[in-house]
Amino acid sequence: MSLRNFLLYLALAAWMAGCGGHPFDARVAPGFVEVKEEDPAYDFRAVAPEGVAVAVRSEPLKDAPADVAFWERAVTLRMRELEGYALLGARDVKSADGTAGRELTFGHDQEGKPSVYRIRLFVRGSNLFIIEAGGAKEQMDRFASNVEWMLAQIQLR
Amino acid sequence: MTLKVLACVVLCWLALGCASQRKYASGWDAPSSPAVERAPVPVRAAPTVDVSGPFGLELKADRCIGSMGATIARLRKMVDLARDQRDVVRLNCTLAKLEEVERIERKAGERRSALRGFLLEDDDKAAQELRSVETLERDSARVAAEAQQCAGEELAQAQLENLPAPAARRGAFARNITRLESRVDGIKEQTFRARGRMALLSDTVLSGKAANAGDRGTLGGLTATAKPAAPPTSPNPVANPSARHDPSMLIRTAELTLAVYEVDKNIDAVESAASQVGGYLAMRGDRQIVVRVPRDRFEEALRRIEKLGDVLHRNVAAEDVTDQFVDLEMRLKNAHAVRTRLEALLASASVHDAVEIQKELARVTEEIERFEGKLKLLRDRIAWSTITATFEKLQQQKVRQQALLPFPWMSVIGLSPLLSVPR
Repeated sequence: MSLRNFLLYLALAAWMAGCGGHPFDARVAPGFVEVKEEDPAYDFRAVAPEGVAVAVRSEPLKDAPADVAFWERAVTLRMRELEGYALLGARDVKSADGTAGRELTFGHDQEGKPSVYRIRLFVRGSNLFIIEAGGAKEQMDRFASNVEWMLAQIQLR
Repeated sequence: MTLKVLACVVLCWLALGCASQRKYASGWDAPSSPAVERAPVPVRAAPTVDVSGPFGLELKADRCIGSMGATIARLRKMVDLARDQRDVVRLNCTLAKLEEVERIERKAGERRSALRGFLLEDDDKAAQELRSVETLERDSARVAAEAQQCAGEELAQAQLENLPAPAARRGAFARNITRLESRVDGIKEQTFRARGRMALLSDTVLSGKAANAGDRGTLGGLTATAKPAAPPTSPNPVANPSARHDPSMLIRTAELTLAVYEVDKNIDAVESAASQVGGYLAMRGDRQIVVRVPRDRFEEALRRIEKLGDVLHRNVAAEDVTDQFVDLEMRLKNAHAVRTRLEALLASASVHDAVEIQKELARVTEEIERFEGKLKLLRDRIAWSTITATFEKLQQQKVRQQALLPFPWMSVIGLSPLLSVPR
């Protein structure tokens, strides 16, 4: 192996390590900070001091190769009937790489205060991507543009 | 020698023959012989009682007193039945008649004793005493007839049916009769109710036509126009005679479970929606609100409330209370009739009876108040539909089986895990 090839592989390995090994790219908006967790429930999570959070995770679909409609129905049932969330809306969305998905918006009172929870679902390759954003309704309105930007920047691979 | 022996045999035979004839004559049983049939035993005729003569007068008097005893027994049964039926008016009446007949019987007993004294001394006076006893017997019969009249046909019939049963009626036959009687009673009761219901429905049809022709804004006597919520006076379907017999004797209720989002704001909105349709607030909690709305605007109120949030569960029910309503009305009517009769009795009662009647009057009045309260409540529940809106999660056990999928990530979605502080 020549030195040139060695350096090429090294650069590729460094690039992959920089991506954290997750099959997506996410960027942090101003006012947010990424939270690094040792035993993460999320692959990526960024929070604002005002209590607004955006999180991304991917789940392999090898055991349940279902489409977005299935996951949308499953999440809706769970959030409404089991958790008591109010379904405020549902719409089609696209990720930065052009993958089509669905976004559900729920409302729920957390400790007596109305809160908003948004969840986007994408299926790409053999992965299901779950992108969540939530916080107190007042703060979600305030950080709407930042949250929207972060959601739009997520690129799936 | 031979002759002597022969003579002895003849003598012995003669002696035995005489002995057997004496045995028959002394009443011994004759030896059974197929050749001889016994004469049939004559049936003993019923003893004829000679009522002529001095002892005949006593016998006649005894018969009169026996008849009075039977009358008293009948009246006692009537009293028992009235007591069992808790029919105060009949009980009082039959008790009074029973006492009167018992008094007459005591008098008749005294006359009979006097008759016995005159039997062998003065036939005229004995005959006079017998006439007195017969007069007393007629009096007792008259009082018994009066008792039957005041007790009514039903009780009198029941009393007649409850007379001591002959042996033939005992056992299975008597049980069948009892069963049939109870079935007849049941059918009578059903017929009574059916008649009441038919009358109710026919009145309703007539009143409904009249209401349609007259005012389109009313529904069974309920004003359909909205009115301010407070104070919530009950739009009583029975307050108005034309509304008394509304065919839709339905109590309508709705229970809504809404998602837990902006609960305070939505509870305000539910209360406001109820007010807008003429309803009122019945109960308000942190996560639950109960409103009452006029039944003719129930659907409208429900639609308004459902638009306020995400309805997770909806349960709308209608309970038909026609039977309860008719029953209560009949009972109330009967109680009023009893009270009227008691008041009439009280006017002419002795002091002792008056105390008893007062007690019964108090009881009947209390019963009337209870029936009226129940009717009022029923009318209120018919006139005002109830809507309960609860902002909470559905019962976990009920939905867990439906909503749980074998994907661990689904148990960590939602605001709580998303906003939790990392360890």
